[in-house]
Amino acid sequence: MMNEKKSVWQSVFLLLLPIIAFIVSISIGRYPVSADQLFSSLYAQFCGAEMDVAQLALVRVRLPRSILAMIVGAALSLSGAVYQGLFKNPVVSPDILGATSGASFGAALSILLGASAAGIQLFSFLGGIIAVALVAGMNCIIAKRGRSIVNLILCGMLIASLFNAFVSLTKFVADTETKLPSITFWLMGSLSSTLLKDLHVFWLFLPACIVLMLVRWKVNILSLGDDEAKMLGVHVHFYRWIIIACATLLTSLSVSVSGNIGWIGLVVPHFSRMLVGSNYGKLLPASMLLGSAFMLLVDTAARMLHTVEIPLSIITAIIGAPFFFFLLARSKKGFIS
Amino acid sequence: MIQVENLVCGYAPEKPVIGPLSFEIKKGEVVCLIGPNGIGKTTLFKTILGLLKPLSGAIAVGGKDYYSYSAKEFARTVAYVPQSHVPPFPYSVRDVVVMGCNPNMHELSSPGKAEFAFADEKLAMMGIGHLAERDYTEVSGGERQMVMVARALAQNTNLLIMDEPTTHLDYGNEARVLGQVKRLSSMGYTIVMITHVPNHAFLCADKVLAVGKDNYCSMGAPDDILTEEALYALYGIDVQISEISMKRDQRKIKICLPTII
Repeated sequence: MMNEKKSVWQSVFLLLLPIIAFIVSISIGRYPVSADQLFSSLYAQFCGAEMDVAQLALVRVRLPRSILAMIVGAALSLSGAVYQGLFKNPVVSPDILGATSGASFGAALSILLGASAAGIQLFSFLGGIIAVALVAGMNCIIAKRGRSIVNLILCGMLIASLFNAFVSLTKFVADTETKLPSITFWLMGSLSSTLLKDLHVFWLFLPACIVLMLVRWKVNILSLGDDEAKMLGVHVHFYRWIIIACATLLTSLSVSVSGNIGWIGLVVPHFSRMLVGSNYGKLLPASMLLGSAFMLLVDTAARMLHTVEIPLSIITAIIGAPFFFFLLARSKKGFIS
Repeated sequence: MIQVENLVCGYAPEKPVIGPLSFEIKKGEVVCLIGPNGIGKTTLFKTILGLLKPLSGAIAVGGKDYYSYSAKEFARTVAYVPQSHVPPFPYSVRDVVVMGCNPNMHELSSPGKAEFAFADEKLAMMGIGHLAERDYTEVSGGERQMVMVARALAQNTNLLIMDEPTTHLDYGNEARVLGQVKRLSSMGYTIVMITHVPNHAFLCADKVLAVGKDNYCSMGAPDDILTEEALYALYGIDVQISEISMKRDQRKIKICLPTII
């Protein structure tokens, strides 16, 4: 069939995109790297051979940074995409339940207290988890009669705004010479301090990603609303909380290593929807691949555009806002109804 | 198929909405649920569907108490046809119908060739096979209602529960949906539907379940239940019921019109 042929080419394209973006991102930088050098450095890393300075910079700095960019991009796009389905709302992004605000507060607080880089990551990750756990708890308390998804979103808004206030509080009391700038810069999002050991987040990313991939088709049914999903034989609460847990994990871990990066979780799922349609069976893998490629390009731009690195959230906003307008302008019925 | 005994429905024990009601729906029947706005038809439906806990009384579906069903088993026994609505994302018609296969699939699997073929078969059965590739959000209201019925058929049950299947439909689509109800009934499906139009019951129902104020509840053949007096008691308006004979097959059929002053 014509359609099957088309979808095979589409899959090949989507798979190649992050790979191409990865090679591009690895090769360009302050020290351009040829394919030859790239392979010799990788060979040296894995066989334990001696490396010169350029090779070290490539393997210890640029490579982990590019890999982390892919993980963060994929994680944010995945959680944005599943949240849009879960909350039946196309304008939802990963921060809907307060994970981002919680993680930001965790980071800001640990910077204020003078924690190490690893400490900041841990605090931030826990902050995100705690924020969503609070939302879940509040939802349980008010949900005795009817468990509505609107209540959940309202609890999320409440917690998010509370944690944002806490972030402001930490900034307010922070030392304006040293701590305040570093909190501010951290919150704007950057991958510039990535080290090889930061890649351990992959071991959290992988299981959450696998679970979401396994339940991805159910998101279609969940997006029709609780009652209808239940009538179609889906155990709504079980799936909802599994998905929220995974999405929270993904969002918190990406904020903990890269700071606050907006727009990706909102724009990438829409762009993917444009390419492969709304069915989550295809949409989720596509969002993951496109998200990782997009983040790689944004991060490459961040380190190439200027001698001083530009914070990631600034670039994603500059790309995201016009793109979102483009989506609105060409929207068929059903984009935002 | 459905036995209801002394059922009281509502959202809070101190404020029951409807009941106590007792009735039985037998296999192969088409039953129209009729009653004025706000009487609790939807509440009753939600309770039968297990979306709302009964305040008291018992419901058995398919001969089993419905607390003994898991969500999946229930969906293999009862298929619900909601009022057609627009989902937030433009899924294709085929993707919407294949969701009906969920109760008969393994928990973590996605639909494969067999499921899509089954969905296509149900679409063809509803006469909308040509819409399979179209966006569900873009087809007309009547077509969307047919898609909802096709999805219910994909659940592979023989009990369909329809919530006002003809609201928001134009005159032609209303007749088409009723035609499909009749056709499905002749194929052995049991169908329960809410309707606001007594004529629908005359046209395609075997039985009528009428609910009204002060625990009014009666069930029986449309000709017996839907009398001018009963409709006055239900809706507080004068209606006139006459019998006409259809040109096509000389079949006698009752029609009901309100007296408008």
